[in-house]
Amino acid sequence: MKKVKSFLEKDIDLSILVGLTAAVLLIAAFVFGSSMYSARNIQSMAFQIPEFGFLALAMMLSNMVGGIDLSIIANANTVAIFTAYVLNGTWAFGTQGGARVALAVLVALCTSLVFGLLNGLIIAKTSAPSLVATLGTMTLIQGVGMAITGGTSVGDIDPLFSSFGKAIFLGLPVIFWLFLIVALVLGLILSLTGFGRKLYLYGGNPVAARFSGFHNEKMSVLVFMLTAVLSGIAGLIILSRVNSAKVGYGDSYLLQTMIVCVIGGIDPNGGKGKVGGVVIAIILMQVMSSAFTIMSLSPYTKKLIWGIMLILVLGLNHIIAIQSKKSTLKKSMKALASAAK
Amino acid sequence: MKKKFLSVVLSVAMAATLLVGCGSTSDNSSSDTQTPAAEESTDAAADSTDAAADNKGADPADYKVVMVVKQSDSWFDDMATGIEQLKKDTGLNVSVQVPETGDAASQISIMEDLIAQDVDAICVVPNDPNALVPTIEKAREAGIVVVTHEAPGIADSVDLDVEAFVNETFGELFAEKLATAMGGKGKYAGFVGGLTMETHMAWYDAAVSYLKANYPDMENVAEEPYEDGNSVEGAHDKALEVLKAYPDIAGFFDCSAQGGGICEALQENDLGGTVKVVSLALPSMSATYLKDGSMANGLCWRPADAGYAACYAAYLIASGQGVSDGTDLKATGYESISLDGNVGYGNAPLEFTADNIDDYNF
Repeated sequence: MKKVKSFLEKDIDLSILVGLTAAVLLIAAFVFGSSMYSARNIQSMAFQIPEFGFLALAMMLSNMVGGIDLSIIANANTVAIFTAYVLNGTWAFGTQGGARVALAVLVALCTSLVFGLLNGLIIAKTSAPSLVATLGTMTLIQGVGMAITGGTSVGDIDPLFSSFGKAIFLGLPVIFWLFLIVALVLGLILSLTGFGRKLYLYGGNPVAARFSGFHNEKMSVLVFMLTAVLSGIAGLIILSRVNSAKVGYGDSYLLQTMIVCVIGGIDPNGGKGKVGGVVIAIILMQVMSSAFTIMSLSPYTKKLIWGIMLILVLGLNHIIAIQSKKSTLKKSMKALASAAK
Repeated sequence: MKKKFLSVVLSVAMAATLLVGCGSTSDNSSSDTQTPAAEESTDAAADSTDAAADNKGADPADYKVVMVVKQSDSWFDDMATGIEQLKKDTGLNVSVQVPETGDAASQISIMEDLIAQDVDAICVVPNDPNALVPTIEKAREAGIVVVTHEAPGIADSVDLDVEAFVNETFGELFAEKLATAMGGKGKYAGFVGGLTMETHMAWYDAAVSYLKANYPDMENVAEEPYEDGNSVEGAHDKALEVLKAYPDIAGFFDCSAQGGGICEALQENDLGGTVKVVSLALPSMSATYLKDGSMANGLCWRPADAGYAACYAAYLIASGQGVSDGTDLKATGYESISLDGNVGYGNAPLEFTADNIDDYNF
């Protein structure tokens, strides 16, 4: 029992999140029964998670270094637009079938890397707050997409590519597996590699990081490039799911990614949080949103519930943080007192 | 240790939910043979409900129709009242889903959930018609009827698209109203929301060519329409420019619902009521101008009736009765739709004047 307790206290935010998710899953089971947990509905939820999931992971990374990347949605859409132009033959340079898809993915990767580099350089070189810098690049990247398309949607893409968004492997969508794999790899990178450890340190205290001999500018550029690649993948998934790309698709995701990160235990001030937490939060969010559809809730009610959730999680985390601080203080006082005796 | 505990908690939760899920499934399908594996039994249950769907009669209460609107605003609130009325009139099991924001992504996720819930028909007013096509195809592959509204461009991918009117007829109505207000002579200017907006352009073109053919004394000041950018300020500023360039202008028509901006500009120049304005109009935005006389006519269609007609059409198709030329969709203006391919046109333009504007609240 003590072991369990000490484990729960070790990562209290995650424990709360897991408890909450378990509670929501159970409540959903009792209220909706088979309509929530039919193979069909689980599959449908798994189809919806990846495009939002990748954006949330991107937001998570930028949060972990104490920043924020507002340009993720614009980035995803513009990458999708570039890719769509390759896939519908406009910029295909004579490639066909598989070669064209490969070229498209390459273009997507390069585009997102360029956008990420832009973000990273602005933030690193000018020391501008990422909020301001990415607000600017968001508008800029959106403008690029707008200028190319004139605001209309780009469609008519290679069917080989769109079949990817519909494909199913072992009962779950391929895009969902992709999301799980990327999340796992990202989690491993953050917890096991030197880069990951540096990232946490840099995020938690950039000044200390600088004095420890970290190359802060390089870190910031790398993080924002990684963020951009993740949003680029989101763009590819959007494209394969909706068969077309357009400026402004999924604008409403921006706020939701921030909510998911906070619920998932990411500290917006940086240096704290785990990929696992965010993945659980994404699943929690999807289950709740499907439940809302089954109940045909009005948007006001939905917002009310999201708000309550957010405050509940934050409030609990805060109270527990204070409690644990108090108890450590007491312990050390006791230790002091006994030492004095 | 830590991961183990986490996975134990989660898998216990999952197992419990699975058990509960199974329990209610077997309740629902008492005639079903019980299969040991959970997944198989839910599949079988789904099959049996599918079979039941095919054997359903024409009783509206047996059909679940869901309308997915664009967003939450007074326009779609009015549409919801129409759908509420349809439920009362026919007993059809119809409901409305409102996305939190006007974004194709939220409409897609709602539709995905509805497909998984195996409803009989989905009606949707798409935010971005092309983006919805794959999801619509998915729904139809699952045997769900899909009816759209305001999306004639993707009519080939749906069972039916319901439109309030033929765009040309509506454009000609603009022209006729403007000509009547202006007494059939003088200079006029036409506004659209943006040159890329297909419906606005269709109305504009129809109106201009109708005026050219029928009112030779009326003169369009520009070849191309002015863009108000779908904002009241845009309409206001453009109208001021036009007034400066053509002081003798006698009329405006605006194919986007921002005619109020033109009226403001006219009032600032003491021309309110002298220069005539006909605009696409929402009662909430245009009532003031219609009442003070600066707007001669407002044109629109009733969202409540459109929602009513679309959902009723969805029920007709889902129940196998089908929709053909002349089908009565039971809503005002949709008593006898004319079918062109997959698009069903009603004849439901709504005309606002100072006298009737207070009867509507959307």
